[in-house]
Amino acid sequence: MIVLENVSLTYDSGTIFQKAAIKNVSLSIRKGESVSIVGKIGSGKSTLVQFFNGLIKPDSGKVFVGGEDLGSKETNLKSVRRKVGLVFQYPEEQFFAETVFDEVAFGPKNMGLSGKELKDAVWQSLSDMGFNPSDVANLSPFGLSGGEKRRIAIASIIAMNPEVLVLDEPTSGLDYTGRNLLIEYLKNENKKGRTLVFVTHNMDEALEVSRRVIAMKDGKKVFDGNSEDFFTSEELVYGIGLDVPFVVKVWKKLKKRFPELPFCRSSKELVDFLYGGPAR
Amino acid sequence: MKARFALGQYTYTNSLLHKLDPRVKILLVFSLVVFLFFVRTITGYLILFVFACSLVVLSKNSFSSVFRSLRPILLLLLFTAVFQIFFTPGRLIFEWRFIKITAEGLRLAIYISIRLILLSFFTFILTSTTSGIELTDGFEALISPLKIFRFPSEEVSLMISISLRFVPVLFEEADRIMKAQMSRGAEFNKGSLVNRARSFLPLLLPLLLNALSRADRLAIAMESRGFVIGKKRTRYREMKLSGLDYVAIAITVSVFVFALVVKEIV
Repeated sequence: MIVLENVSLTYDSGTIFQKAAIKNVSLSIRKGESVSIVGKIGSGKSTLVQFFNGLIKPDSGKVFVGGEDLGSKETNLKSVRRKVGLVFQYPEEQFFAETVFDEVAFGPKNMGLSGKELKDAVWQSLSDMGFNPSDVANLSPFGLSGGEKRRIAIASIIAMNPEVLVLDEPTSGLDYTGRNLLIEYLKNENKKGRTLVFVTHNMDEALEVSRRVIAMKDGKKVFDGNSEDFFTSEELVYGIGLDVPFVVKVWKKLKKRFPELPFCRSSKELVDFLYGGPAR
Repeated sequence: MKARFALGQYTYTNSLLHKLDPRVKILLVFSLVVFLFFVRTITGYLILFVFACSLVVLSKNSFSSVFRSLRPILLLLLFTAVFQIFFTPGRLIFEWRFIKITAEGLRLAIYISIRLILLSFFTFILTSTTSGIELTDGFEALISPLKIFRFPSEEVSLMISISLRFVPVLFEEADRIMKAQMSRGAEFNKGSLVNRARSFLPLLLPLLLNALSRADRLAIAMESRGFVIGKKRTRYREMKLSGLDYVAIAITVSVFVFALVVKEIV
């Protein structure tokens, strides 16, 4: 679905502010996958995902989305952005419309939807994000709570029905319940077949959401593979300057007492196992 | 599509000019710019040009960055020069149908171009060797005598420094919002003029709202750190004239007087 070939990018090249943001990264994300991109702040995660819908172009290397070369002049970037929905960090800071409906409808309208089609798209995305559409559609988006705003912002991307949903730190600044709700919705979207790219520096979330993890350090890709392999290797995780998820720390201790304990991706799975819940 | 904005052209090259007192630099550049218009000879301008170039060398800046700073005024330069050439009455030296060029016009055009170029040279040297904080500190010190007339000099310079401080932040934010709305299929450079103006609403509205809420938070943060309007504040950087400053004043003044009185040799 998304393929990067030897992509590099330098900011402000030729000036004293020159900074290599991305160094020779190749990766491929398949349809239906859920991938977490982890790394410290400034490691290039946010820059990396902006290649995925052609917002920035690499200095060298190639980017393909659905087989189309984004560097080619014939490629319609608008249709690429419809395929790859990118949710920025703090997306609620981009609100401008008077009602939730208009806010969510902005994307699909730009894509040429109107009338019943438009309303259906808005309604569907709002209910996908856990709202009762008729309750919220006429409210002002500015009056909602932080978690609700965040979900409205994500709904506004989902309303374009993208094949790939890319989220840059979607849980930052959310309270506990807001975060849990969001994680559940995202996991659900992926289960329904939407490709999910999840950028985070919260390791517990990365582990819970995705089976595959891509780790970035100083603009370079340093790991790409199974999240279980990644997070159980302290050498790898600490080497990048990240922390082992709390669940994995507990799981490792428990594994010594209960050798039959399967790998757990969330505290819920762990608790379910220990108390004989559905995970067993 | 990156909205880049480097305020002034401050580059830390740690030259002698960086060490000068900002008050001295502001005053010198200001008076240079004013008195520039009193120089009447090409030789005088030549002297000033050599002086400006040696300052650029001294500030350890590259000449390419000086020329880059000239780019925005190029249009203005061309416009005024063309106007002067064609619309100054005087002794005709060239005539073709309705186009008339006079000796006085040509002379004026050359003078004005040289003045504008020198002007931006000197301001470049000031802004490239003086950080925003130094500039506003210096500015505040220079306008502080106005306090006698109840002019709120400290507040004004604080306002200037805060606005300067947030210009790059606003540009970065505009860039981010633009990208986010482009991800939602927005296009900012297509369609009729009306459509284009309307397409900026999703950019300008969030930008304004965020700026307002940021201003609110900044005010609270400043007050919680003890800021009270009108109250006397001490400062971390005490400005003090050093020997270097006196040398700079002496050199600049003498170069300038020389440029003013020198006789035309070309």
